[in-house]
Amino acid sequence: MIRWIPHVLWLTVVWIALWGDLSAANIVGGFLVAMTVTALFPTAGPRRERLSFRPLAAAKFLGYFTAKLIEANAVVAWEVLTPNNDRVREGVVAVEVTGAGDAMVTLLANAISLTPGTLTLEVRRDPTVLFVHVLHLRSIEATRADVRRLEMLALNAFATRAAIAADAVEHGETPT
Amino acid sequence: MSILEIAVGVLVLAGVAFATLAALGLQQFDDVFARMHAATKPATLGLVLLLLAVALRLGAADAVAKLALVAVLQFITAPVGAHMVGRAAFRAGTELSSRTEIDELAVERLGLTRRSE
Repeated sequence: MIRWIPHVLWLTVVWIALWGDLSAANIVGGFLVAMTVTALFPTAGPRRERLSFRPLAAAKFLGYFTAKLIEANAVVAWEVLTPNNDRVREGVVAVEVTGAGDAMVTLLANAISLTPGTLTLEVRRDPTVLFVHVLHLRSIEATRADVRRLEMLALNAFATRAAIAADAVEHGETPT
Repeated sequence: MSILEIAVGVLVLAGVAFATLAALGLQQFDDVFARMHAATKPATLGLVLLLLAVALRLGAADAVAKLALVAVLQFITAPVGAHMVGRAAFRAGTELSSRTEIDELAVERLGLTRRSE
């Protein structure tokens, strides 16, 4: 039951936003609809993955993500405005992601697609490998380092302490 | 003209500019994958800028709530859409542009083609 709470809350928020009405009756009505939908389609509800939430680290992730999003737009815009240059070096790079469950991989894959020059093409599990299409390839290592940076920020914001520690060990880093 | 009106105007123009760049990029890039870069990023930022402009102009809380919802859903769905198109293209064996230097999916691509035969 507890696993359903975020899902029900999210649906309730969507309901209230769509009606644009913060009255008690609307909130209760939205909550009931959210409960019904979650009960009727249980696969969409429960999350098997344990997550946590650190506001400060989440803000850091969001800040980095927003900065990168704007940078991504500038890069693509410049590319469109100056055709026939030699800067485009495409590549598909395999990046192994160690510390992530389903929700984290989804978040990471989406974030990669919205940040500069990278686009998630394919995802494999066990072990988790993201295949990332790169528009301006510098080197395979540089791409992996970029994704790693994003992964660390996402983990710090949303993963449990145990997951972060396990991930650090996987990468041969000392847990903090 | 108030500062608010100027801000709204600037945001609308910037939003339209990014949307236009996205469209131009779709036309201009070499292969499906590069095109998805253009379709995902400027289109998303362009829409967000337009939504900001509308939110500033309307100012009403219920309208802003709806616009925020549109932005959130765009951030969730745009990369998923690009991912699905890219994956479909890759699985269908679409050729990468001649500017491609590394393809670490190539091995998997061969495997997939063989399986489908």
